[in-house]
Parts: sequence; structure tokens; C-alpha cells
Amino acid sequence: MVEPAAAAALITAYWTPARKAAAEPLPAGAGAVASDNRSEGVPRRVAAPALPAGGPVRIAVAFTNTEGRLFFHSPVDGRDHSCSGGAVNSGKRRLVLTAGHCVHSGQGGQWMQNLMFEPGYQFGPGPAGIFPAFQAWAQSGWINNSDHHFDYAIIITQNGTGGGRLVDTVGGNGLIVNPGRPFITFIGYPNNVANAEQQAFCQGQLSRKSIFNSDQQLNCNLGNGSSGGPWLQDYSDSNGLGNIVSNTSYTDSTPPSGPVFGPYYDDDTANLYRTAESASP
Amino acid sequence: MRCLRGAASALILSFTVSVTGCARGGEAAAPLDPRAFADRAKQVADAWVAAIDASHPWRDAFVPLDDLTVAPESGFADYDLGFAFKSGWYRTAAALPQRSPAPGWITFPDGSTMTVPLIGAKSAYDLLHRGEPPCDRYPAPVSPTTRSAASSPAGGPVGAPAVHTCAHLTVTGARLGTTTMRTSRGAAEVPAWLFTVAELPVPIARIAVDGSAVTSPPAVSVPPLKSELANGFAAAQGPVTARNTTLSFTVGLGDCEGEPTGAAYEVGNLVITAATRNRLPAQGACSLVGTQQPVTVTLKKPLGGRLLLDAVTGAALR
Repeated sequence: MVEPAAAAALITAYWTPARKAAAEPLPAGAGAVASDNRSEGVPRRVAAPALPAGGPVRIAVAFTNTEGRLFFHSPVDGRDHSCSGGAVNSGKRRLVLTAGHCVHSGQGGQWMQNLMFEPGYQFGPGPAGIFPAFQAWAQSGWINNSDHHFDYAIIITQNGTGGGRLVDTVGGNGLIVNPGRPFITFIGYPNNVANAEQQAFCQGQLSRKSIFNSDQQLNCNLGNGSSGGPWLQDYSDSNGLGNIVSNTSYTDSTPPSGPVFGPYYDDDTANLYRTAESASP
Repeated sequence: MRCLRGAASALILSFTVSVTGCARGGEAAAPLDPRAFADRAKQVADAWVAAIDASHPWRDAFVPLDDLTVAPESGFADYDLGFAFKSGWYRTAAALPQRSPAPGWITFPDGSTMTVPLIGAKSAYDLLHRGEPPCDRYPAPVSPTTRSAASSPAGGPVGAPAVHTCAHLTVTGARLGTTTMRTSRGAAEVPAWLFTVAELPVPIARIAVDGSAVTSPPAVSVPPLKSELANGFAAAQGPVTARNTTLSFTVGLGDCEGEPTGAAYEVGNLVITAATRNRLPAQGACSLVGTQQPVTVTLKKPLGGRLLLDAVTGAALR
């Protein structure tokens, strides 16, 4: 992983006004969910970097307004919490992908409240402002059983505080299910980088957690607050977009030590996405 | 493990380190290392002193160190009202005085005063009011629905309407008064608009000093923590409350952590604070959600007008 301070310097130095202005939302229809054919509707593809013999590749990754912090209040513990999330493209332009435990506490628990998505967060809400949640969608397998295999969720957002729909304002990533084990870029707000006040990234080759568990494994040291942060295949510095193939969920060692794990997106994930989109205004 | 209370002993430097609170639950945490914390605190203090000395008008200007909007000292008994305050969700039920008042003055603890231009109540209100609660745009409630994918272990999607705090702070009047505020020159009496709020027992104050007379603290950068310290320390965040010698702030915690231990280093007119994490051995999955956790630390003397800094980021706390 790029050391936290270096990451912050790279990120804040890259995102000049000219680059910000050049960023465009993902065109409608591109990056659509592909259940059988992974390459269907994928946005502009960049060549996969050649990996060295060891460790993750260190590539300068541009700050992007498409990912952000997600704040919420838990009626279960009475505390305020934070996660990460990424906008995902859809026809109605309102969807955020995050972790299941960021919208519902799981087995025996409740839905979270005051869900606010702040894309491009940096020491405060980003230029696009705050997008309050309208509805939240998660799998029964997470809600009823706290099953981490299904620890993902989709939030439908209201118009932002600046007016306008989310993906129109900050762009939207694609989504790929049944992705295999690609090289990805995590983008989110882990507590071990600038106290989660600055966007951070980590990259690595995904692998299967074990022969018994199909979760995606990423060898990065991500601290708390990184939950829900998207794992992006084909992340492009030039437009700050990629294809979401998983999201940060948990670790088996006390954070912020890695590796970290995320759910393996499959046809059920596509079904959740389509269901949320159909419920979206 | 033993609880450390009171000053670390036999240290030759002219500072005191206060450690308050005991780690509870789970396996015992590694004890707080006062020297590691003190070293870091001194690094932060040095960076600030250098920035202040380097041509910042710290000793001559009005440099507020508290939020310019002053919450009631007793806080908010109701979570929703506290959330509305934090979000700036106000509405007015009465017309506010429109005209700008005559210049006022700030009184500093050494008796010196500074004459300052003031803004009118409506302008001050416009600085408080930052938006509307999302529930005002709320759709009709939707019952959770399940579209079952019968044989799928995922169990099928379930949706629910997002629940939001739907509170406003209703301003019923405003009068010009003063509020006590920490500044670079100690705790000062500052002209403020006192807004009576229907939902609260005491007014909310917003300083009436025109922005042209307000100077920001210097931008101070501190070296990043080495990773082993970064993993062990939790940065102090606002909002801060100081009552007698008790200082309260919040830190961001994770799953698989017990109660953190607050620490404070006091030197000169600076107080540098943070907490050490009580990282527990993982028993099963540790989710990576972040949690806001209150922390309390006991100072050697009341905070008073001293500058309060976070040891991890070096930021000034309000």
C-alpha cells in the first residue's frame, strides 16, 4: 500500500481545476451490469498494468468526486458512524453502492438513519454537496443472518443539496458481477489516512479467500471507515471512473491490518441493483 | 492492567501528561506509553509555535479558536435537535432586526479592547442557516418489500425508506449581546447575536463581528505519524466541551476496539490531546465501519483560553 502521507500528497496534488473540469459522468448505457459477459458495456478500457513479482503496483490515482463518505446514525448503539461509498451508474442516476452493514446492522438489528452521502469529501462535504438517502436496499442474507457474503447494499439518493441527481453531478461507475479475481483500485476513506478526512486508495490483485470461502481478498491495510468503499476494476485516472466488482467489508485481524475482504458479486448482486433501480424515482 | 492516573513522574521537561480512563473489556491493551505521546505532542506544539512566530498576527488580531456559532453550554438533550444544529437547519418565526449595528468591541483578558465592525441579525442568521432537513422532500413511506429469489442464499432484495431527522431550530427573536470565546489572546468577550430558539431553553449565539475583522489561525502542517503510532493513536475531533478540568471530544473507532484512553499534554498556553486505541484481538470478522466515540480526559487546570490541538493531525480543535 502507498504510505498514507504519500497517498494524500499524490491525491491532493493531482486534482487540478482543469482535470476536475474534464471529468465527465459515465455515459448512460455504458458500464451496465453484465451478468454473463463481463466485457458487455464496460467503459473505455485501459491496459492492465504489468505486475512486478511481489506487492501491489504503485500508480498515481486521481482524486475523484464519484466516491465519498457516507455518514449515518445507528438506532442500535445510538452512535454516529461513517463508511465509504461509490456512485454507480443507472438510467435514473441516483444510486450509491456501499456495504450492507452501512445501511442495516444485520441480524436482529435495524436500518440505519440519517444516511448522507458526501461525494468528493475532503475535510468536509465536496463541491457536489450532500445527497441524503431516499431508500436503502440490501439482501435478506445480510439483514437476517449478518452473512458477509452479502455485505453490499444500494442506496437510492434524493437530489443533492446543490440540486440535481447524483450521477449527473459526479458521474457513476460501472458494475460487473461474476468478475473473477481482477486487479482493482480501492477508493474510500479509511481512518488510518488523515483521520478519514482525505480520500485514499490502495491497489491489488484480488484472490479467493480460501477454498471454503469465495469472498474477494485484497492485501491492503484499510482502517475503519473504509467499509463500503468500492473495489474498481479498470479504474481510469483520466475520468475517475471504473467498474465496481466488490466493496470493503471486513478483516479477520484487528484493523487497520490487512488483508481485507469483500463479497463476490454475482447474479444476486445484479438482481439487487435492478430492484433498487426499479424502485428509484 | 493498571490504570494510570495523574502526571507521569520524574520527567525533566516542563510539561505534564494526564492519562484518564481505563481500558475495559476484552484482553488488556498495551498500556499508554506517555513518552511516545509526549514526544508527538511536543512535535505538534513546536510546529504551532513556529507557525505563530512566523509573521502571523496571533498577538494583535482577533483569532477565534472556538466555533463562531456557539451551542448551548448544556448541549442538546435531544439527538434530533443536536443534529439540526450541526446541519444548520433553522427557520425563522419572527422578523429579525435588519440594520447593521454600530461598531462594537472585543474585550480580552488583559483588559485590552478591539473595536470591530458588526453585522446585522439577518446576516448572522444567514450564516447559521445552511439548509433544510431532507424529510421536507420526503416521499410517502414505503413498506419494506421483498422480491424473493427463492432458492438463492442471498435471500432476495429488501428495501426500506430512509429515515431522517426532521427537526428545525425555530428562531423567534434576536438581541445583541456578548459571548465568551477562546481566542489567540485568551478567553475574550465577543459581541454576538443571541438567537432565541423555540425548541431550546437558552439562546444560540453567533458572533456579530464582521468577517473582515476575523483572522484565521495559521495553516500548520505536522509530520505524519509513523505507522505504528498511527495505528495506536486516535485523533481527537470536535465538538469539544470543557467543563472545569474535564475535556471531552470524540474519536473515530472501529470494530474490535474497546474503550480508548484519552491523553493530554499541557505546555505553556497549549493543550495537545488525542486518545490511544484499545485494539482487541479479532474474534471473527471485524467490520470496517467507523464509529464516533466520546472520550474524556482530565486536565491539570481548566482549559480556559488555551489553544487546543489534536496530537495526530496537529489540527486546532473547536
